[in-house]
Amino acid sequence: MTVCLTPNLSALAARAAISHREDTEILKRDLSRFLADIFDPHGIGGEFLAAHRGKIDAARLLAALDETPAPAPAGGRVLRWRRRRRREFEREHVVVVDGWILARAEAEACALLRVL
Amino acid sequence: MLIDFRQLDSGATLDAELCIIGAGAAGIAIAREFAGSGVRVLLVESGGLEFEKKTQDLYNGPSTGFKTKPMDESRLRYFGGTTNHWTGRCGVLDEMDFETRAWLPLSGWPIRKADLVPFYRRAAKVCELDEYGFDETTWQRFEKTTPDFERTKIRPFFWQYSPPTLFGGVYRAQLVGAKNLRILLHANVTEIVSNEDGSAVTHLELRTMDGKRGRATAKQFVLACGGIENPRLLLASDRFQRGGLGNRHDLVGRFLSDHPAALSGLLVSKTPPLVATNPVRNGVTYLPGYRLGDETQKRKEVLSACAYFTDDAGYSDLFLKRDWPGKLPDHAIRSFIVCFVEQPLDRASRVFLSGKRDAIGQRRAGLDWKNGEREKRAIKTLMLLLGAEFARLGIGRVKLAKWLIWDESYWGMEGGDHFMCTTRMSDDPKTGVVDKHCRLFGVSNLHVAGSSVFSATGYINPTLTIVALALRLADRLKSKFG
Repeated sequence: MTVCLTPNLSALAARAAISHREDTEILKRDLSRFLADIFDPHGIGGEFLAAHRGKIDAARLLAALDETPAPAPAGGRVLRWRRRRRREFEREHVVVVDGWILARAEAEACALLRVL
Repeated sequence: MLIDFRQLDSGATLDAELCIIGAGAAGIAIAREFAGSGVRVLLVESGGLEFEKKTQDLYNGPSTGFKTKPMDESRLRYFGGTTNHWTGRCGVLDEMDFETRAWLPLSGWPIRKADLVPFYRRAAKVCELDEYGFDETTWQRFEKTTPDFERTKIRPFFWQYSPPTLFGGVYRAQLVGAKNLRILLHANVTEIVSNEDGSAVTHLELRTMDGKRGRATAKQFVLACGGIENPRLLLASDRFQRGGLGNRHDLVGRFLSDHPAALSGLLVSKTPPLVATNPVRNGVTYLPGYRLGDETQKRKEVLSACAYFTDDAGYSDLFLKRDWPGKLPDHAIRSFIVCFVEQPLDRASRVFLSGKRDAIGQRRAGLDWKNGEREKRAIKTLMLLLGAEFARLGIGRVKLAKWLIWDESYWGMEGGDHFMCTTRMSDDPKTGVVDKHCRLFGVSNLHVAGSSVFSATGYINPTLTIVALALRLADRLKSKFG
């Protein structure tokens, strides 16, 4: 059961469809590293997607997760995502998905992992 | 000296200089302060030395408001009072609890925390605690530091567990052996009788369960029967004062408050978290707690709330089977999170005289306890901050209990153990029943002790504050006897 609050992703410009050169497996690996302390990220991702009722796809999720089309910093996108997560916890920008208290970045990442 | 009122002649009058009604934590704490002094003290107790069903039934009564424990389950009516079955959990009110908060009507006390600290220190000894210390610096006793919480959001603190001190058992010998002190058992106070203008108490009407009557006279009286019985007896003492003694402004029994408590979530971690560890020192168990920071309370205009961790099996069933069946990792370490919250003062929340009568013809107390959205909001605010901070610090992840997620009026909170504020302390008789010295407004020789005098609740268990206030009152009364 998904409860509560998700960010309004419609305001974010969707990035172009994931490049054919994008290695989905690398993306999954990075997401798994980012979500290492999340219990059941697939289940959480499913709840997040159910709350959006099919209105969201992998491209939009990745755009939302990255927040910016700028290239990833040294250390890669996982570092960027972790920085974003830390900022969100500091600023109390949390969401509740399936009862779990998450940074918004984590909720989006779980959903993306589920979609891939 | 122990006296059984049932063995006295009917119509007996017992005289003292100080008469204390009720031998619970407050009454016994005050009586001990006078043991061995030159003041003649009479300590009047409804029950005997052991539990008796018929006397206990006097505590029964209807509850018309928010669901709470039955009144004859949370309280005990024999020598030692409710300390005969308390958990022993002790803590102190925060400084902010004593302050007026702009977003909370009737918040604050007419005294400061600094006024009470010397008495908290003494009360800690009465409750057989370890060295006084309840704030986060207490972690240094265990050569540990707490995780680096953002202190404006989450403030660590401690409870200490009393053994628990069963006041009746632990202090009976001292009180019985004091030559200036008489303990009168099986004596129900049915009325506090005043002079006609209600400005002073003249005597107490006493009655046994089988109808024998008597009286107690004294220069000074202390009503120490607890958060429900204190107002009940005042309301029932309406021979000369319509509406009850000390009730000119219709405040006796009002502002009935408790500490709503709720299983609020689960912390899941991969290693045992320090935050859920209960250290022990000098035989005393410490329980770490985590409360909303002062700045967050002000910023969000929320009530004060706190959380602690438990691995209680009952909570496991509730959370795992009721709330989230099949939804939790088996391998992880789990700590259930229980929250307590203060209550805003609500005039409509009250103790009243019901239409039901007990075995000795007394009108039973009724409860109409109110609870509301503000309490739920405070707990949810605390839980979301705990979840964010625990995740940020790598301690673990928090899953909320379902009642906090649903928007409908589903209340996971329960009450029934800490009734407070029903003869509230205030500087103004229009907002309270007793003054800052716990004297009933308008009555020169009647004081009140116990949780009923609390001006506001805070979130912390009340017993240590009850004893501290009782010791403060005892010092005040000593000055009256020179």
